[in-house]
Amino acid sequence: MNEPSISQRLQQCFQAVFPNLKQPELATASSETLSDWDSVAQVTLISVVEEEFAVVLPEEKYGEMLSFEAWQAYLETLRR
Amino acid sequence: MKLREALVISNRPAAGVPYGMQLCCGFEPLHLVTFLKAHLRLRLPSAGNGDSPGVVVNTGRFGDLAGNIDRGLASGAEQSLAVALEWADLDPRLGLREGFRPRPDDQGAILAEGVKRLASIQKQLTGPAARRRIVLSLPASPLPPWGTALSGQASVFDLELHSLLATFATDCARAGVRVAELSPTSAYDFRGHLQTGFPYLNSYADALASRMAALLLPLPPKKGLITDLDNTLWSGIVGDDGPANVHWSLEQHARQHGVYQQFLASLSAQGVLVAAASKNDPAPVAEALARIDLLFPSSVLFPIETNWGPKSESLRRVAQIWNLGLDDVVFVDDSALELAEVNQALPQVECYLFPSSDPAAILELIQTLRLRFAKEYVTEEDRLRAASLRGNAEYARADATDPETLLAGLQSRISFSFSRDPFDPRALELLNKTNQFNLNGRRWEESQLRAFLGQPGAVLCVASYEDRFGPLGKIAVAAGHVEEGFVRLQSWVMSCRAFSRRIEFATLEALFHHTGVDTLLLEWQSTPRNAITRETLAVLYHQVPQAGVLSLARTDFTLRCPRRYATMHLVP
Repeated sequence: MNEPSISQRLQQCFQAVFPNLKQPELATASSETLSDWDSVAQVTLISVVEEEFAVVLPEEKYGEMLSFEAWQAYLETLRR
Repeated sequence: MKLREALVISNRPAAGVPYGMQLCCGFEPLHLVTFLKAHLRLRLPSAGNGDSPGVVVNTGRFGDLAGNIDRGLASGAEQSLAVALEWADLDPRLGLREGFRPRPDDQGAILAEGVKRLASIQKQLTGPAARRRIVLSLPASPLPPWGTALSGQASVFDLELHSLLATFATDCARAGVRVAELSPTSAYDFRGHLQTGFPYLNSYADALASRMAALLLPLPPKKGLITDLDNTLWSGIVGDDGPANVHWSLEQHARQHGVYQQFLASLSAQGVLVAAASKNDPAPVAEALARIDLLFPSSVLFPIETNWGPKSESLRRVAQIWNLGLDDVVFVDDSALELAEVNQALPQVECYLFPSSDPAAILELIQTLRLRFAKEYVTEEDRLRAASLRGNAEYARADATDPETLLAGLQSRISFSFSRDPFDPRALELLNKTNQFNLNGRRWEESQLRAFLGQPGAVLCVASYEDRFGPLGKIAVAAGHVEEGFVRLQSWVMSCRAFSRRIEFATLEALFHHTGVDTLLLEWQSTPRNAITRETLAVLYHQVPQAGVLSLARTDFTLRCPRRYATMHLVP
């Protein structure tokens, strides 16, 4: 059985935090494109992703993880 | 559940009136709100399309628990309150996020401040404004690691703080606040607390929210337990070993069965009906149950089904005698085969395997069963329930060829209470649990009923009954309000244990007499289960009326009401 990819799991995280986000918008989702990406959404997203992937995001990375793309790249790096 | 799942559940489409509540805390509530919404939504009944109502959790201001409680209590009499207390709420110097220079002489001042603040919070949560469902959780964060103590030693200061908290929690619980029981180990998230002001790990927030939701919206408890006997109530097979050689004692290595007997006795004392269903001949069972070393009175078990037919048939008969739905019943048996037969024939019955050879598993089963029957209040009626069932069985067997003769000889007495204060949990229970005699099927949230009874002109009539077969306790409730010379009844219910005694007519008579009005208005609605109510209304109106507000004049009531034989009196 194929396990879901990092991208698929990350999409589920984003869709849980941003329920109005549509599938085609996921790959380009960022704090600049989503009006409801505020500070509460940011800490919630960090918590959801940390829980889903069993990682702890270093504090110095908080300001960088502001898009789906950034998260995917970070999680791919951890996998290697 | 994980935070992602909680977000998905809380954001699902909603239907119906939203459930609103206040969450009062001094910290940033963040993910606790999400978990609470999710757990509450899982408990709310779904509408026809499968969607449950939405949940609105109102919060307050950071660092102002007392103010948040005040604002929560002022926001609406019907809204429940959940209060999450932390050490910093007793004194900011007890919080790890707050930067204070610790001084050796702080401890006395902190304790004094803690006493003062807890007294104030207690007054808020138990005062007149707090007439609603309130849930309280106790601190889960660690105390600051100042002061000396050996490894593994509890400091006097820490113990004094915990003692203060325990007294506060006990006094709140005595006053009706629901105190959540939760182990705070692995609760605290120091990193998160510093970054966002939210002090809990997601796993603890989930567990806390689940516990709070369970206390805010408790599931109805099961009402009856039917137990097997051989290798369940006792160790051994009574038909083979003989009544004197089945065991439940420590000496006979069967103490786990004795614990189970004690548990059944405790269930019976809180009003749960307990019966036995055993594939056995009646005689050896009766002899074993008559043993003086049995750990519960034999009167606890009623009825006792001993036969060689399918257990499902025995369970059907028991449920009928109890007048309970099968979904109110739990069945316990050591045989997986018997459980499978019951499961197939009666899927509504909740079945549990009694693990005879595993004492640890037996204790775990008892703890599980304890929760299935857990009630917030044990009323006098609960304690009377089993005895009144036996009385009803005798009543049913009494000579009923002439109902008037039977009723005349009952020596029945009905007491009516019109008191609205203090709040009567039995009245709420009757209003929400009674289906067959129910004017319209209306259900009440506790906070709704409390708010309703606090209004001027509200009327609450609670009837208690006893006759020569024994007491039934409180068995009927009518709730309404006085409106320009008449009483409008919004709810009227009567326990099915009280049928055939004309108590419903006596209740109407008491309402006319106590309020002095000449007209009652009844908000009538037919439901799939209130056929008995239709029969009563057919007597009063000569036909089953259409749904709506029915007018009943005192003169018409006097003419149409059948003869009553009970003596009636008013409880002051």
